[in-house]
Amino acid sequence: MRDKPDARDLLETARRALMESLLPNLPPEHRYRAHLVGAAIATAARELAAGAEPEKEEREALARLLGEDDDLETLNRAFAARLRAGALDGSEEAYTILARANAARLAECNPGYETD
Amino acid sequence: MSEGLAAFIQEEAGADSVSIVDRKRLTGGAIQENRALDVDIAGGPHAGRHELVLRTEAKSPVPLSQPVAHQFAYLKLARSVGMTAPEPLWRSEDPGIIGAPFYLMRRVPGEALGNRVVRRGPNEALAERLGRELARLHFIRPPHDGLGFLGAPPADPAAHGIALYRGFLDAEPMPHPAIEWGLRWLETHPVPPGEIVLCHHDFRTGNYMVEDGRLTGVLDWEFAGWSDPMEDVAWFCAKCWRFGANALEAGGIADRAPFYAGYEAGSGRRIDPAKIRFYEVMAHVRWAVIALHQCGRHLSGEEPDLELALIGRRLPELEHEILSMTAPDVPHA
Repeated sequence: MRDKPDARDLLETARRALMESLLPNLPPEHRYRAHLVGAAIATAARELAAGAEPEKEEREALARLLGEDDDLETLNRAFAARLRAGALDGSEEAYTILARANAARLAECNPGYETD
Repeated sequence: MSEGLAAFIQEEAGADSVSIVDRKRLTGGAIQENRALDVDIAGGPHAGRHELVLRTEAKSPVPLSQPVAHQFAYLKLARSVGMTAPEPLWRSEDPGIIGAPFYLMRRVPGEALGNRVVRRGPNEALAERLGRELARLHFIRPPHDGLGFLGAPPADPAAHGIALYRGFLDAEPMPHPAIEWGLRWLETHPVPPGEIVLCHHDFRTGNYMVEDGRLTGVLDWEFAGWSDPMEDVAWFCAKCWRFGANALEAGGIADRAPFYAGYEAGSGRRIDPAKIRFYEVMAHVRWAVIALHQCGRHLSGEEPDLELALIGRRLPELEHEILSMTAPDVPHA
């Protein structure tokens, strides 16, 4: 068993140290990159917190839609090909899968994004 | 590189001597490098101090971006139709001077960074002016003697774009079904081809300079080409270029109305809402495939870089916009 703190805690603590202690003391020309570092850490921490559930749900939904069972990448490849071929034009089910997968990824990458 | 460059300027400017006083890397230009140079020229018709920008050919250019020689031609052409753009001065293809082809242009005052421009709040006059600027560019039509390098214009720019971006996706290692959905929507909601004009193809907040609220120069010409004029209008308004000021649909600086009004008054052309909608979906598709390619430079190990890596994580924002404009129950405008 790993010792505490866990990866998520470490990332969040490291990010706070960066943004609260280091950033104010950096010369202006380095602040942009420091913000990028902070953003990368925050995304990684949110991805860890979300765990495997979003991709599991996406995989199951795709397997139902396509009538195939495979890993997520293979299913998405088949999905993309069917979309391009026009086999899923206007499909509510296909759209819902895309929208759900997108919402999960958006929550990890940019939870503050205004979705209107 | 300083000596070779000074010698180059000396010859081009017919000067007795040239010294390069200062140089720093300018912000922006994730794709191409820009450097600010202060150049003192003694003797000849250009004697005096010149504040210049040195733009160098990118080491690993993004597909669709064009060489500096083309950018130089676009700047000249843009100024010849009365657009506000930096004055291009001299260029060279000789890699022996600074290691890559380059050109020099006059530095224009102000700031371009999108976040800073939108932070200054709504600016209807600027939006109206930008509409008029774009209208001027769109007076340039094919065929054009100075633009032979562009080849024949596409008969159907919309269909051309769809094929182009599918080609990009085919070169990607991972599937991207949300972008495929957007491309298929474009294919099933076609807009008829119309006039073809010279488009800037990256005319948006972040790519023009502003000083005291006024336009000082339209920058970043490396994507210009023949297309439907509505593609440029839509690109300017696309949500991905509002820098968070989402309620101000014209580039985060104003409502669409003043931008459209400036464009219509300057061009004598009506804004076509159906085409704008189509090309706004395409704008997000285009940005998404370029973002994928940029991130790919990091992923492949060719150029490991934090900024390139994070561009890959902007994909969900772009895909969100594609999906929200193409829901099955949303009829085509």
